[in-house]
Amino acid sequence: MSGARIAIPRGAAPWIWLLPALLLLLPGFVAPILLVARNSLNIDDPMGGMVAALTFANYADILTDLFYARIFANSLLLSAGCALACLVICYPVAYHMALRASAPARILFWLVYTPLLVSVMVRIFGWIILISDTGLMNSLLTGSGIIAQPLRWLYDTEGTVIGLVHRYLPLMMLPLYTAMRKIDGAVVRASTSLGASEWDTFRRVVLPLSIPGCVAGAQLVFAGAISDFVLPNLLGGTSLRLLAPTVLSEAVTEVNLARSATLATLMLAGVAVVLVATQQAVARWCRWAANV
Amino acid sequence: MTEPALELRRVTKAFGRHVAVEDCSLSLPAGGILALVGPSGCGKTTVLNLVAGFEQPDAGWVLLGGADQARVSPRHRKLGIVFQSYALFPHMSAADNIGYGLRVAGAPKAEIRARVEEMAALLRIGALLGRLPHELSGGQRQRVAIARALARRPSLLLLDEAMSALDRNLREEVQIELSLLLRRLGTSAVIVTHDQREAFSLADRVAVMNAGRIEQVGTAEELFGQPASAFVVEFLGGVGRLQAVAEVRGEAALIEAEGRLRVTAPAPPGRASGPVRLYLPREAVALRPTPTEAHAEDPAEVLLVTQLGVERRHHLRLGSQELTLDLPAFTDQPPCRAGDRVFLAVDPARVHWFP
Repeated sequence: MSGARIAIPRGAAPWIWLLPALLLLLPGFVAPILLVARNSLNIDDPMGGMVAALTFANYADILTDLFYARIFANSLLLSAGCALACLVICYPVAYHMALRASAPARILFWLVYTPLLVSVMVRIFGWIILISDTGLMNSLLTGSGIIAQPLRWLYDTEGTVIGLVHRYLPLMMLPLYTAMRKIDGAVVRASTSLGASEWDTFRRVVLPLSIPGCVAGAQLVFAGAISDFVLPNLLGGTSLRLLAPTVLSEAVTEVNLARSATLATLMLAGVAVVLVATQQAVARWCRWAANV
Repeated sequence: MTEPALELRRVTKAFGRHVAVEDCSLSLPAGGILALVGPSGCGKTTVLNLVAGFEQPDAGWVLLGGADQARVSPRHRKLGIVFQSYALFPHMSAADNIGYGLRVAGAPKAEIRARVEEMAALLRIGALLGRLPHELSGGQRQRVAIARALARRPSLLLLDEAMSALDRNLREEVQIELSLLLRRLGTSAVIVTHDQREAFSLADRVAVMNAGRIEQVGTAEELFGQPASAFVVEFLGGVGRLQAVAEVRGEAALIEAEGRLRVTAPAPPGRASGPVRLYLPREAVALRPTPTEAHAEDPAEVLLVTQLGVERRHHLRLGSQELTLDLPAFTDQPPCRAGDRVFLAVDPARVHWFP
């Protein structure tokens, strides 16, 4: 005998491997979400704290309030815009790296990931140096006489968008690049040999085959951008109110915990709806994708 | 006189220090079918890529229909290519795959539909036109790939190991159909394969390649009857091999193996006396219980006999050498058993020998 073995019952085996993840996720992720959802049914006490209740009054308030409707719309559009911007920036890079670059050149692709090695706070301060009214970019533009007045990027919507796009760019790149790497080179050669121009091959073959990657990347960027409160708070201004910072300020500044919980739950539901809907769209329109 | 569909003139192609194709010349008459065979890495796929234009030759010329292709991109060579993996567009139905070439050429919709239906009828896939590639079986995908390659009516069709993913019965079925189809359409074709059965069944002529060079081009009769090199004999297989010594006397050579097997075979010009490899094709040799003209004394010992379907593989010991012969299994001769002593009867006109 070579010592004792831990007996793992056959039926339980698959669960054993999930145990570490479950131990982390159940108390650290699922429980807080359920607590927040529960809190959203309470009533905020104007004197502080919450009164326990089971009411949808907070939902009724928020969903009928144009102030919040505008915040939801702002956040949806801004996050979708960030996802689109990331897609536009990443697509040529991913296309070139996956389908045209030589193997050694593909190492450059990993430069996209180097910002991940730097703390987001450091990157924010970097952007402040670059885009503030007296920052590097404005100094160059005013100094060279291209513009008379500095452009207001920092502490406005531009600052938020620049920060979000920079932060979530890698989340777009990986699925996009992976999807394009999966495109069989023979398929591209087949298209060429059938008389298609490079543009035709791109439009009719590469682009449709990269759609699932585009959607996967856009989902990640969207979900990240809509729930980010750090960048809007540090780089953005007050002209465009966004959802995640509002959730934070309702909870911390206004101490409306129930209202904050309601906003958070609605945001989560909204993100879930967008993700499921886009996933369904891919499953429906790109039936082939599961078999490539 | 019409120009050959394809001509390679002294084509060389190297990748770094590896010479993939070296000084290859060949010519394919219009309507002809040529197979390129050889072990993996022999350069046959590179030849195909040079013809298709996916690679450019370092030296030499590739001519299609008599026209030099050096400045012609793969897009404009008007070839039909059937890829090893089929390379169907996964997001397009079978019909859209087949019509792709006409669609990018801007053909009218009605013409595309008519051609797709015509191709589908030829390849008997009419019922599958609406399906996506992943909803098709391997054989059906193969047919769609062939239909797509033929839809633009190319004058030359290239097939790159196009049958290797199919199981044997299906492969033979597709081979027969393709063979009939190409002859009916008068399309020339170059087939790259490592399967010599496929090569001989589809092509009128077969080019045997080895280490970037074409060893020999010919019909089955020429390749088996007058092989140009030891490589051709060994690649085609089905022969027994013995180390022997040849003594050339004019137009004949006395070849002796192990001091007991003596064959007087024709000597092609330029062959010298010395140690040689003697090849015994299955049709040139038989096993006899009694001494023969070629093998009069010291019989060979049968070590092992294995059944290979309609043939039997005989492992023999002849002096210090072992000899493997695949011979017809079901003949009038009583079968040999391990331990038997046998004499080799040899037809001298049919043996091959090379230094």
